[in-house]
Formats: sequence, structure tokens, C-alpha cells
Amino acid sequence: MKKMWNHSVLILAILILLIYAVYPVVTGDSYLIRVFILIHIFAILAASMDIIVGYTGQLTAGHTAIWGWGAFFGAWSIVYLNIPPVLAIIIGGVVGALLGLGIGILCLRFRYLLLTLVTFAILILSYALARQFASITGGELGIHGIPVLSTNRIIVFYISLFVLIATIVSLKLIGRSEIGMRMRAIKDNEEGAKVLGVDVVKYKVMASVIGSFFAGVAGGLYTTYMGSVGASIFFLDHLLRLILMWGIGGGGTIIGPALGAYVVILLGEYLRFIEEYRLILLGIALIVILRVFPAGVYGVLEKILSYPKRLRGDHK
Amino acid sequence: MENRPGKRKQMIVLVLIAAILIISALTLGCAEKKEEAKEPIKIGVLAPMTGAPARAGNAMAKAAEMAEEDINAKGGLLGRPVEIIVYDTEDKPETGKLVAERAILQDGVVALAGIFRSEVSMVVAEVAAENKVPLVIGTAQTPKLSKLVEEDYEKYKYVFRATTNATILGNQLTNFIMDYLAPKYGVKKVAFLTEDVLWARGLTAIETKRLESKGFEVKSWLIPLGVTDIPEMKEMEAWGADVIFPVFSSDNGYLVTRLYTEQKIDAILLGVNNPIASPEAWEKTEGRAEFETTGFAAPVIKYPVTDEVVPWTEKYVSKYGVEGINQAADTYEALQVIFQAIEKAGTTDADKLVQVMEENEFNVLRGKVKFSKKNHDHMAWLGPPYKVDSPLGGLVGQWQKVDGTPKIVVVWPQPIGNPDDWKPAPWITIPRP
Amino acid sequence: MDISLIINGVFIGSVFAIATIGLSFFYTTTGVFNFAHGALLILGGYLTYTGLTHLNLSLVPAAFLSVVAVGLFMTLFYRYALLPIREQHITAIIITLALLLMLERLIVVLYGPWGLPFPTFFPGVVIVSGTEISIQKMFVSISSLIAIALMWVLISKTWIGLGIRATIDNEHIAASLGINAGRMHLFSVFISSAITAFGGINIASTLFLSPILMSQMNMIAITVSILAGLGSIWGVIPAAFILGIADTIGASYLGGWFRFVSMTVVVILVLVIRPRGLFGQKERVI
Repeated sequence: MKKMWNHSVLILAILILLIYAVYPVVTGDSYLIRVFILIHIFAILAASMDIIVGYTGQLTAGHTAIWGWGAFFGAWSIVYLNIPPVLAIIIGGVVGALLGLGIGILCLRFRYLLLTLVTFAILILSYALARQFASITGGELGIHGIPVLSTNRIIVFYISLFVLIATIVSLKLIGRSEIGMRMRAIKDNEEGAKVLGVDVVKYKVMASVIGSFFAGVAGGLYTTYMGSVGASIFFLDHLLRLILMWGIGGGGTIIGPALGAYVVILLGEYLRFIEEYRLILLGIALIVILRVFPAGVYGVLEKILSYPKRLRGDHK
Repeated sequence: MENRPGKRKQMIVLVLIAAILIISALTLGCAEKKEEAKEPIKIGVLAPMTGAPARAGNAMAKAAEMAEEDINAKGGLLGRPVEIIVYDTEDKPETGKLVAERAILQDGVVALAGIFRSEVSMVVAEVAAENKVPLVIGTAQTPKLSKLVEEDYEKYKYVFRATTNATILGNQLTNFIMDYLAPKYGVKKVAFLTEDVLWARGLTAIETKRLESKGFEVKSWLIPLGVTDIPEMKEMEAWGADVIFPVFSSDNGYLVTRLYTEQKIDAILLGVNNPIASPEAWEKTEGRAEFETTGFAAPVIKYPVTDEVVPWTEKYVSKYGVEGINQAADTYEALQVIFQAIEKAGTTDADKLVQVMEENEFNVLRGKVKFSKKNHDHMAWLGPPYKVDSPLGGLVGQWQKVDGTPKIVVVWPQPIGNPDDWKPAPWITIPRP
Repeated sequence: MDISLIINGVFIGSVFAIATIGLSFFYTTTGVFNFAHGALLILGGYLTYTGLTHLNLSLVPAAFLSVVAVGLFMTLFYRYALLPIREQHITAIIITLALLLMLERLIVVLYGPWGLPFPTFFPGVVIVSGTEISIQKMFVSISSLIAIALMWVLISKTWIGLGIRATIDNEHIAASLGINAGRMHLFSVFISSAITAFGGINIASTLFLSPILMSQMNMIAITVSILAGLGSIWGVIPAAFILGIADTIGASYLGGWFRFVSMTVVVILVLVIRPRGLFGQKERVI
């Protein structure tokens, strides 16, 4: 019975995904598709942050910095090396992974608050550098006129959706594997994990590299979708929104933060009429969710879907 | 227990229906695009309602509201009412792109106006060009925009700029130094106190070149954003600066005024200091703005460059207050251009509008607007009666106490202002050594 | 060197100190690093503005009201949003970030995005050996130091302070001695938020009052507290003066964008070379 239920949930999920996937073909090019493309980019970013924050328990504030540099390197590789935009996404990812390696090693000696503060400083320094070296970063004006993935938004929709699904699937697979288990052990109790023979250094750096790779990919996508990138990518606002997505969606589940991106951006779109109060509302929502349902929107959905099962008591 | 698949199926169907409902509800927004005779003509205004330049963005939104009321009071356009929708760019390029697309694809606006940050303006120009919707930029100043039109006319011909850049004001200020302060007070050394932002660095570079070519000694200090103290001013005094030339647009400009007056710096404070260019600056600085010379926009000092500007200013101020009135005027003027173009064209067809905008002159608040055919920039250098005010003002004025009441005294350019009304602060050594 | 440069450095140092001490004290007692600190600071200035203009109060009651209001607000927020989860460090940090986001937007919504007029309470200058010193600045420096001294007396000389110190040292032992650790937390949150609001009034009256100060002062407070060493309350004072004087003098000789970068470089260098800062102990993990 449990298996059957699991199957039906899976089928349901696939059905919803299918509807979502054929949606742009049915409606054609529309505004909503562009919203979804942006959501895909942020969902990749939020999901990749989860492997560092939700799995390994390192609250990094530098994730948008890596995203930003991924976008810049993607842009440079297109502008200076004339590579096709699709490859720029991968270059963004590689740059992200390298930065993740550096930051991961640098941050090995920090835990908890210090880690957050160091990565926060890295974000601020990134903004200062991007503004300062205007000859290559374009400074405040940014780089414009970068060739885009495709002028057909439906194609971009599918590429970004594909990358998002690939990100979620690979992160989920990593999370379920032994690697993910060891990462969780580090989060729960680092000393304890060490005693049990978990190579803490290796797994912490690994989480940073994996998460940063996908952040860089999101950066490459951003650049090739927007056709531009500028110092504003390092704004603190991006980080705060990312944290809203992560927390509201439900950290530690990979899919949760990605769902959070949908919730935060769509609510932002549909609550446009309350203007400034949107973010205040989202802030309150985040605090309430963290305090009352720490598992976030994903956790709540999971509970609802498993409700009939528990009602019948066959969860045993 | 095993035999209750019916309930399970019901559940699945329910959830499926819910999912379909949600998605179709999301679609609804895009689906309603009807064309009726009485359907309003929609125009979009993009403004940063949040983020660092929110102060300008709020004023831009209010100007849009006022423009909508004014045009509908006159009976709208082409017999249809006008609806102006304000979109928050959040001062970020991706949101700017998104809301511009929302305006065009979902709300069906026939033209766009506004935009503050240059980076956002470049992104939105791209959206406007791609969707072939006219865009009249009111505030953003980067010269790269006009380059776009110059280099790829067919693609970017929809992009116009109804404003001029701050160089016009910079030139007025340095003219005042070169033609009046130098001969009268022996000013030789100019120290630029520049906020580390794009336009301010650009203005500093241009004016430095101008001053140096006339034999002035120039040195510049770059101030990062977010300081709590500007010890550089003491250093400028030690260097022997005759004029300290601030180039500030953020609220940190208050700090410049404050430190200058409190430390009684022995130099003339003259430059672009946007917070001080507001009529409320006297109150906000508790009179410290006295003797500070900066650029003012015609609406701020209610200088009648046209018949329209003073009544407009009074109406705007009584409704919304004076904050950010320069940007408000810029947005209002961009909308006036769009209104008049639609009226002249007799249609909202984009290509027709572009043609009309290229061929005509438009009467706006602060003079006439005429676009260059080559790069679609307003040709402010034609001089009056064409509009010369930049978003940071165009007239040089000084805060003074006249008969006990604070007043902005216009001193330049002649003959609008009388330079002999200018007074050095009492603590300054005159004439300069 | 110019004497006015040093006087100014001392003034900036005392502003940095009053802007940071609340953050440091909050962290030391509760173990929660309050990223919304800058917003609380400027909130103090804004509430005083409300008292002065909307309620037509005179300076002392307006300042008192705003200090108490900010203190109470943060105490309640801490009690209901942070106290129960303060041991989950990620959640705690994220909640303070959410508070920062909300306060920032709320202030912009309520007061507008532009600077507001804030009176100088003590205009005029005194002349000391040929250098003019503004009385307001002297008042701010002295009152900030007095406020910090009062806080020191409260913490090291009173019964409440004993309880707070015991809680900082070891919560479990303190509890077994009959000290209510939760109550001690609330006391110290109130004290630190109140002194922060007081700092905000001082800042508004000597610099200006504008929403852009929130993130600026937040950065400064974070930098000073890191230089002092996290978990060191009193190390904040020398650190603030070092950074304040270095900022004034360094800007005079180096100037330019270096200043903005120098703050972040200080943070990264301190954390990489000596994570405990100048005066801190090893990181406290609760």
C-alpha cells in the first residue's frame, strides 16, 4: 500500500511537471514564460545553496558572489573568446566550482557565524571589485549586448528547465548517496562525524565545490538570458531574496528551496499591487515558517500528500 | 484497507484539478488583451520604487500619476482615456527587463517612459527594441544609449532620450568659476570631491579637462559610497584649494555641507550637490546650506523658463511635496512627448510614433524637446527655448539669507542670474592668496 | 599632524563605539549575531524624529521614548522569534536577516526614502587652542562614553549584571544557582537595543537621518565588532577608536575607494589571520 501511494505521488508529480513542460507550447511566447525563466535561474541558485547550507550546515553568504562571477566569466568568454552561449553556461559552472574550491578551503577554519561573516565580506568585496575594474566589468553600467542563448523564449524556457531539472536530480542523487549522508552528519554534529571517521575537510570542500558549480551555471544562464551583466548582480538584495527562497521553500530538501523560488517570485509578481509591503510580508512569512514549519512549503506539501496514508494508519 | 483505491484516485484527481486551475489562473493574466474603442491607451513608466534611488523613483511615480490626471482632464488621447501604469524596477536589471516585458506583453502598453539607473536603461532599451515599442528615457544619462541608436538604427530606433546629461550643468558651474570667480577673487585651484559613481566620475573628468585647458590647477578626490566622515575636505584646504567642487547625488551630500560649515573650510563650496538643490535643504541642514553654490532645476526655484513650469511646480508641490522634483519633471516631460506624439500621429502605431518623434518638436514643461535624427538624444546644446535643464538642474544658484529669510539666488548664467549677487562665506580669505 | 584631525578621529571613534557596543553585547549574551543591528540603530533616530515632530515632544522625552520603544520592540522580538531557536545558528541568523529586510522596508514605507531634517540640539562651537570644536560633537562623544560607562557599571557592579555575567560564562551553572537565564537574556537584549537606539539618536544629530545610513552603519558595526573580536564587549571601545582614527587619518593620506575596500579587507584579514580579533576569546558556540 505504501508503495502504491508513493507511486501515485510520483505519477502526480510527473503529471504536474508534464503540464508545466507543455504549457509554453500551448500558450506560445508570453510574459509568464519569461517569469518562469527567471524563476528557473533562481531555483537553480537556491537548490545549489541548499547542498552547502541545508546539507552541510554552512550558512554561506557568498553564494550570490559565486553566481555573479559565474555570470561575469560567462560573459567574458563569449565577448573575448567568441564561444557559443551554451558553452558559456558550462564555463560559468567551472569558474563557480573553482571559486567554490577556493572559498571552501579558505572557510575550512571557520564555522557558524565566522563563516557567514567571511563569505559576507567576500560578497561586498566582489561588488567593490566589479565597480572598480570598470574596463572589463563595465562598472556600474555593466556589459551589454552579449549574445543570448536564443531569441526564442520558448527554447530558453526549455534549456533553463532542463538545467533546473538536471541540477535538482543530480543534487538529490548526491544528497541521497553516502556523500550526502556524510554531509548531513557534519551538519548535525561535526565533532561526532569526525570521531566516526568522516573526512570533514573533504566533504565540506566537496559541498562547496558542488554547490558553487551549479551557482556558476545559474550565473552563466543569467548572463546568456539577460544579454548583460553588471555590478548590480552583487547587490545585497539578491542575497536576501535567495535566503527568503531557501527558508520559505524549506531548507535541506533540495526541491524545497527550488519551490521557494517559485513562491517568492510568483508572490512578488501577483502581489505587485501592495508594492513595498511585499517584502515585509515575505519577511514575516519567513520568520513564521522558520518558527512554526521549519520544513517550509515543501514540508507542508509533503505532509498534505501523505495525509490519507496516515489517516489509515498504514504508515507503519 | 487495501480496497480503497477509489478514495486515492479521487485525491489524485482533486490535486490534478487544483494544479490545472492554478496554471490556467496564471495564464488568465496574459489572455485578456481585448481591443475596444473605449479601451484606454496604456503607457508604462519604469521607476525604482525600492533600492538606493527610491527617493527619485517615488517622485517619478507621482509625476506619472499627475500626467495621467492632466491628460484625462483634457479628454484623453484620440478620444480614448489614458492609463499610466508604474512599474517598480527595484533598481535591478533583471527586474527592469521583467517589468518592461510585463508592460509590453501582458499589459499591452504602447510606449514606455522613465528609468533611472543606466544599467537598467540599457537592458530595457533592448526589450523595447526587440518588441518594437517606443521608449522615452527621462533620467538615465549614459552616452552608451545614444551609441546604440547611432550604430544600429534599424533595431534601436525606438529608443529616445528626452533629457540631457549633467555635463550641461557642469559646464555652467565651471563657466562661473572661469568667467567670474577667477577674475574677481583670484581663484586658481579647484578640488573635486567626487562621489564614486559613474556619472560623477564622468563629469569630473570632463570638467577637469576644461579647467586645466584654461590654466587652472585641478586635483580630485574620490569618495566611496557609504562614508561617515569626509576628512578629505581638510586635506583640500591644506592643499590650498580655492574652490571645493562636490559632485554628489546621494544623501551623503548632506555630510559635505555639514562638515564644510562646521569646520569652516577656507575654500568656496561650489559644485553639484543634489540633496542641497532641494527647497527643503535649508530646513534639513538647519541653515548650513548658506553660501553653498550648486546647480538648481528650474522647477525647484520656480524660475519661469516657460509659462507652464511655475504653475506645474506649485501644483506638484502642493500635492506631493518637493522631494525629487527634478526627476518628477523629467518623467512628466517624457510623458508629454509621448502624448503629443500620439496626438500628432493619430495612432499608437510604433513606427509611426518614431517617425513623428524624429520629425517634430515638442513643447514640454521646461522648453522644447527636439530629438537628434542621428542618435535620438534631445539636443540641449541648441540652448533656450529648447530645454536645457538636466536631471541635476541647469541654473547656478546660491543659498543666501535675504532680509532674514532663506532664498536661492540665481547667479549664473547671465542674463538669467546676476553674478554680482554671489557672496563668499564670511570665513573665507578674500581675495585668494 | 593637524590637531583637528585627531579630535575628529576621536569623535568618529566614539560614534563607532556607540554604534557597535549593542551588537557586541547582544551577541555575547545571547549568542545570536544580529544582522538587523544597523536598522535598529537608525530606527532610534527615526522614532526620536517622530517624537520631536509628530508628537511635539522636547528632546529628552522624545529620546527616552524612542530608546524605550526600540528596547521593548527588540526584547519582544527576541522573546518570541529568537529565544526558542537561538541554538540553531542558521535559523537564528536568517531570522535576523529577515528582520533587517523588514525594518528597512518599513522605515522606507513609513518615512519615505529620503533624508529627514534632524535638529542639532547643541549648536555652536568652543575654541580650544585655536581649533574650533562643535559642541554637538563633543556632547555626542561624551554622552556616548557616559552611556557605555553606565552600561559597564550596570553589568559589573549590580546584581542584574552579576546574573548576566554568570549567564555569559555558563548558562547551566547559572541556572543551577537559581538564575533565570531566559530573563537575563531579555535584560541584556533590552539594554543592548536601548543603547543602540541612543547611538542612533547621536548619529542622526551629528551626521544626518536617511535610510541609506542603515546599511552603512551596519557595515561599520560589523567591522568594528570583528576587529574587537566576537564575544568581547569592552574590546569594542579600543577597536572603535583604532578604526575611527585610522579611517580619518588613513583617508587623509590614502583616500579614495581604498576606504570602502579597506573596511572589507580589515574584516577578511582579521578573520583569516586572527579570527578572535584583537581582544576576543575563542569563538563561543552555544
